Amino acid sequence: MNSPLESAALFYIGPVAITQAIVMTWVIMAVLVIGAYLLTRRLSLHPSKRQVALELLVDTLDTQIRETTGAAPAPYRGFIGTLFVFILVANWSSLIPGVEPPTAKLETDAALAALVFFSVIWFGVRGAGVGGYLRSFAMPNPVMIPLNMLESVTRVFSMFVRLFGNVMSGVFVIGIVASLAGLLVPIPLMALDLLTGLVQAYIFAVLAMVFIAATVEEGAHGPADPDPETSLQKKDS
Amino acid sequence: MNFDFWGLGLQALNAVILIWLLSRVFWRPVAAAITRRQAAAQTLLGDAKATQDKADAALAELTAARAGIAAERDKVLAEAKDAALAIKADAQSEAHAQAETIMAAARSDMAREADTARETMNAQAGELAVDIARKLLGELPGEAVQAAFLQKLTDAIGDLPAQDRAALVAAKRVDLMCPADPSADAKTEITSAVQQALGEAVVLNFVTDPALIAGYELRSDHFVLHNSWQADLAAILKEMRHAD
Amino acid sequence: MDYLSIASIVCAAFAVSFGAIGPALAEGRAVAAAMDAIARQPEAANTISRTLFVGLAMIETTAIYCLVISLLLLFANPLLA
Repeated sequence: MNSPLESAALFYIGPVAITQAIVMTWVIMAVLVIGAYLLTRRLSLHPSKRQVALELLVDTLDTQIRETTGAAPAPYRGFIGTLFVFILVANWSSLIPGVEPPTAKLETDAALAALVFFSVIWFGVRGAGVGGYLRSFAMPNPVMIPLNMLESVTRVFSMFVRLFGNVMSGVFVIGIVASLAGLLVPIPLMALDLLTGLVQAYIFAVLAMVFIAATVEEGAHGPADPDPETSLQKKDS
Repeated sequence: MNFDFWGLGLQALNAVILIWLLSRVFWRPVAAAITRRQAAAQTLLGDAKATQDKADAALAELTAARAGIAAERDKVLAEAKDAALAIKADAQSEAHAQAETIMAAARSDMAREADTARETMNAQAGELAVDIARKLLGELPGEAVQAAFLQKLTDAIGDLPAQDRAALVAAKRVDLMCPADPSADAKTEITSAVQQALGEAVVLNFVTDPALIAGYELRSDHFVLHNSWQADLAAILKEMRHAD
Repeated sequence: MDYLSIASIVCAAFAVSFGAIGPALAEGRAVAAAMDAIARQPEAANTISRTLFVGLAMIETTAIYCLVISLLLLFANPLLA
């Protein structure tokens, strides 16, 4: 059995090994961009069903962002929405036979988590200035600075491992069951995998939003709830 | 396990490119469409509100105009009623006044006619009475009556105040009116009786006047002493008239 | 077979099994609490169930961590390299 932690290179471009996950990412990117372009070609004041569906999607995202952060959703919409859509499509691409989702590979999830890490810095500096962003480490008091710095790394590492573990375990379990029991047996597991993929995409996006919002708020106004998990609960309850 | 950092960088680049592309192609256009439609809806709502306001204003105006018409109608009706009442009152009062005038005129006419008739009747009655008396008196024995009148004349002269008597005496000519031409004896007797009563000698000029019926009257230029049936009857007639 | 390999396999199995116990208990409690909340406030069932799913995914993450550790032991064990 192949290790789920490794990936074989299909070919090399210079020093860069192009794995199946990277190719799959390109495919997903192409599908998403072309699909979005086709879907948004004719937006008008009198919406078709297609446009209503798109607007419902965007409106739901805006509502979620507003409920999570209390801020205007416009600056975060592109980043959070794209994260959610990409992770969702990537997770669900496991339904296609022979396709291993890119999020089941370490590099993709690490890249997404790293993007979240840097976006926290970016949005924090953009929203509260460099001083405000640095001050957000001293919340709720300066004693917490080392812990906050450590937390800013570990929380994205946690996101990385969470996403990777969930998707990879789903694919891995399905592979094992398929190899042991036969063709149709893993179908319930695949259904569960759909749910897991949706929930993980949602969690990833919401956590990214919460981290960004917490940093911006702390930098701008002072202490907010630094714990992402309680923030999430508070939002949802 | 081999962690490929080139792969990580490439995937991060891919994700950034995807975020950028989707922001351009998907999120912004749809959000812009939503905003545009909301703005359009707001404009439409504003227009609808304005139209509604206009309609409300027109309705209010109409209602006010209708109320004005009703008020005007009421006013006109009330005015007409007042005018009719005034005309009626005027006509009534005028009719009253005319009736009063006519009645008053009729009353005064009646009164005047009645007065005239009564006066005429009184006059006729008085004249009739005087005629009756004259006829009755004419049948009385003349001598005795004349004697009584002579006696009455002398008494009256005696009763005259001194001033009148002096005036009578001073008069150049004194007429003595008689109903019939007296005889010479009677003339002397009368003259003596008058002179005796006056105490002075006066020349009496005897004048015959049958209108006296009976009696003697003394007349000078300034003085008349009535002493006859005629004078008595005239006095009675005058009194009767005054009594009315 | 090397005793290191045997130890790695046994430890991987222990990691997964004990790593499953805690999340199982926690998820049971979370679902029970969510049921209780829905019974009290049926009109909030949507919000509660959404929060429940997110929370369950969070709890499950600990089991996933254990799974990842066990996989590391099995496939990327530095002692066996």
